[in-house]
Amino acid sequence: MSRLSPLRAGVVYLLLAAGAAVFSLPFLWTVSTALKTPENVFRSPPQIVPLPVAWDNFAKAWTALPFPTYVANTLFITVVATTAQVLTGSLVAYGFARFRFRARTPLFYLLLSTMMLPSQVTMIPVFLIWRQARLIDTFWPLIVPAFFGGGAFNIFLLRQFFLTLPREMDEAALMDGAGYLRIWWSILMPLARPALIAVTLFAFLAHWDDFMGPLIYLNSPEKYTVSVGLRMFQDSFGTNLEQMMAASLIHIAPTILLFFLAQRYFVRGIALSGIGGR
Amino acid sequence: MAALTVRRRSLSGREARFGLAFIAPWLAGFLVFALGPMLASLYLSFCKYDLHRLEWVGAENYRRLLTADPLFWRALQNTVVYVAISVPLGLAGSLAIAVLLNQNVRGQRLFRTLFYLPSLVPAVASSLLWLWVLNSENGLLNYGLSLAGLPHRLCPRWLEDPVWTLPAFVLMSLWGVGGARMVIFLAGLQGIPESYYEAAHIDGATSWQKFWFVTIPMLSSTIFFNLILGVIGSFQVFTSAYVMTSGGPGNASLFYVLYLFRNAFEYFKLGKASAMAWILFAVLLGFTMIQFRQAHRWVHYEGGDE
Amino acid sequence: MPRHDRLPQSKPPAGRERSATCSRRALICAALSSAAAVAAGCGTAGRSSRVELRYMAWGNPEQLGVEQQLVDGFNRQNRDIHVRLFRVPASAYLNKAIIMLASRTAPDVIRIDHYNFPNLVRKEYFRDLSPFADSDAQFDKADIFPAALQEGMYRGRLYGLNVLLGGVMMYYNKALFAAAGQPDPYRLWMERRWTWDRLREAAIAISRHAPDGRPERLGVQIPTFPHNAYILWAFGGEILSADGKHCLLNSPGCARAYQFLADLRWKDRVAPTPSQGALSAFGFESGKLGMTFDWMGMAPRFRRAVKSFDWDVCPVPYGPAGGAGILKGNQLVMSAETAYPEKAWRFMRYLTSARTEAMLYGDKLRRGDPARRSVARSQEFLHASRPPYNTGAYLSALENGRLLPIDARWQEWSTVLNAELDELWGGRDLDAARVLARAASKVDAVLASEEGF
Repeated sequence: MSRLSPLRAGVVYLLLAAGAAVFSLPFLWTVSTALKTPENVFRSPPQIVPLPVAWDNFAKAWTALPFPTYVANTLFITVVATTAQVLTGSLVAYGFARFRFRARTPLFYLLLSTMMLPSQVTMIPVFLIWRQARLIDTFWPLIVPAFFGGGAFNIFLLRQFFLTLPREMDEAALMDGAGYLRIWWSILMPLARPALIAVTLFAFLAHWDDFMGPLIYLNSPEKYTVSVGLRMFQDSFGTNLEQMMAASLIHIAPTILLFFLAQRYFVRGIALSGIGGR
Repeated sequence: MAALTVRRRSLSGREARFGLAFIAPWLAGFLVFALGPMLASLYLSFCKYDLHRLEWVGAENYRRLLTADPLFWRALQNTVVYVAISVPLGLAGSLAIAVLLNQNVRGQRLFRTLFYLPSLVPAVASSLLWLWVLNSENGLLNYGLSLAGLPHRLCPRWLEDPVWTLPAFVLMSLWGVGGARMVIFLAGLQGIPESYYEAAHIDGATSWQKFWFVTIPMLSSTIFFNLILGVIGSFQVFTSAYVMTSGGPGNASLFYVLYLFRNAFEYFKLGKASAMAWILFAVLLGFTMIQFRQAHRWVHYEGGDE
Repeated sequence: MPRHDRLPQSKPPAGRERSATCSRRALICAALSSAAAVAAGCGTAGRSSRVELRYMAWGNPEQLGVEQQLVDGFNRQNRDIHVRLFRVPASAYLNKAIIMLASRTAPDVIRIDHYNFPNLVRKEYFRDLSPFADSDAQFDKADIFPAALQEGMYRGRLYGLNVLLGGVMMYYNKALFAAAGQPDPYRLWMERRWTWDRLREAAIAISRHAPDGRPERLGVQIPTFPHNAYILWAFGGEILSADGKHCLLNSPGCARAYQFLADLRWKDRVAPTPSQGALSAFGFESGKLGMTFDWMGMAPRFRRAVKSFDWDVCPVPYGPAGGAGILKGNQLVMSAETAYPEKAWRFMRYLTSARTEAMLYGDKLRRGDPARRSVARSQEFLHASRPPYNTGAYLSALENGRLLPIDARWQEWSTVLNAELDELWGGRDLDAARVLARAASKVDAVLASEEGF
């Protein structure tokens, strides 16, 4: 991508800096609250810089619940489910984007329609299926759906991206005798890298943050996830705000790290993959 | 001629088989996990069900919702207004940010992360933040407005005044959902071949023209995705209203799914809640189908098709 | 696998195979996640002679820690039972409980917020406790406050044992009272002179506004329905008719009561508006609020967060028609599905025993109030080494408190009512009688409507 002229770069910087200041506010507030002593949380006007700094909120939050176990559980569920979801989801998306068959449009509407019924009314029937399979209080109900495409959102998103890729390359490969699976893996997947990274991020975030799933399906405290632990800081008599914010930061740290690292691959993507010269 | 037709048919038969094979994982999952619960809720929508006694009542739930439940209409109205404002604004806003974040300037990784941060803060924590930002007495937003010269008296009483409650929720949605949309747009922008811009540049196009005649058409499939998902998602706005205002003041933030949730899990009217779900389903499916029909007019797919 | 999945139907043929893969799977999960999960996944082979009971409760980490101590104590004393505590976040507790009850996978012993009890008990999810309570000499039913017992009754039978009982108290900032030259409200109350009019005087004396009109200190925080029901009673009003079929809020007494509250906020300007009070800007902990009304269970929180001023508790003020406070508890219930009712009862008896109550509600924790008279009058409860010192206020609240008219449709009509009352508390319609007339007709409409639609 070409470098911008200094004037234009200046304007871009100004806009980005202003926007970043506004957008990072919730995060800064979370950090500030996480470092306050209980007496200072509810001061008015609010304390912006926490003084004295209560570093021990993190230690308290971390030890109040068995967080190492929760983190391990959540990480396991998230990594397995995300991997499965990205792989199977992209296969399904490939099927919808590149193949013509009579039932395709109705089936695609059917796929989208699964997002249109509020989960509140299907929650109990879905639970009954898992109970019938005797898999309550295991990680199965949280992981298995990811192996079936992982939901309409990421299938639809990947389909959109596959559709924007020119067909010439896979048709050429087909002529050369490559199988469909091979075309999917060695042509479409590399070309759709920015989209795959976006889908991976969303899937990771969705599983990492999922609260209702673990809440409903897990019963043993030693199988709980971080998001369930996080909610424990809220009780019927109000919230232990500073500890909850400290726990929130522990909770979001991996996703921030992941997003920051994903940038490296995000910036490149298609430009390097050699499709530009068309 | 005949031979050609036969060949095409056999090719399309093969194509259909492979197509179905690729979508099979999803189809199997749908049949096992989704179809049953969907049909169950459809059946329940014709019943009176309090989690204990089940009684078939025909279309009575639908009839009463549509003719005798003012709160249903209030919730629908709130939600439609919310969707109609927040989706277009959100699309424009996150597209603008994504374009900025796609500029080749130093420190872009940091900027992108900062813009994405709000989407990472868990909903409960960010709801508490918003209560503080939107507070009409000591809130950050009104503090900013008063710095800009607006007298304190004239500042909106955001979550306290029914008139300003929906705008407040729109504002929150721009911030919260905006991050995810922005990432999708960014991924879409990364997918536009640089050569297109170079060609436009050689033709003497201005930046604005490049945006309109290269970026927008090339991004149309992403815009389309964000539009469909934005409408489906915004119609189901729930957590922020549940945590922050529980539908108030008055019923100003009584959104459709909040009312549905109350009927299901607070009043134990699962039949009525299911009927509400299927009315929403019909609305969303209708909207989506219309959008798909019209898509060929403005959505550009490089890979042809549809 | 839940170890005691006691469903009526027999195991499906595939069940054995599934459970084999499942436990292998559980082992893999556990190996990857943590050693603790192994213990859970492989089940309870080591204590096979013991019956496992599950007990579900909500609370923050600290409260659940106490709950776990109680459970451990019970497990040590009872060699034939092992109770496992199920911790569920309070904010999603009802959701989880409903799914478990509806799918017949509920734990043996469950704590239910009383707001939901009258509705759930009708669905035959809970077991009748009367046979146990009437025949078990160790239970000592007569020791329990009648109101606490009454809350757990359904059709003349006992279904819930009251736990975490509590009333709404007035918490007051002693430093602000002293600075405003106001007498101690608890002393006035003991002389029956702590009235709503005195409260208003004190609130006006405490409040201070800056020259630009912004409040710097305010007198009293106004609670919303139902946490302000006692002022309705104090002014001679009632919420529902005795048969529960009509709303009585459209009455002069109720109108006077709510007008009084609304005027404190919008005329006298001594009570924070919703946004002034939001996010505890004028919360009790801020030190800028003279009085607030809240549940007894707030004491641990204020003990933790208030360091800079003295505070205490006082019963709600007297009005023309008396000074009864609210009393509301939570119910400990036994699942109708439990395979070990007798053992579950022993655990419930332990959780509601005088010893347990003394520990939970005594000076050290003060999580709520005892339902047992013997505990309420014991030194462990009445002695205080830290604020609140006025434990006599607690005792009075227990002895004179009234129950809220919580019925099976409470959630529905109280939601409708609060949406109407928002007009009054939000200052958009300052005529309490008019607001209450509208509200009462809407509540009546809910009460008269056919159930289930």
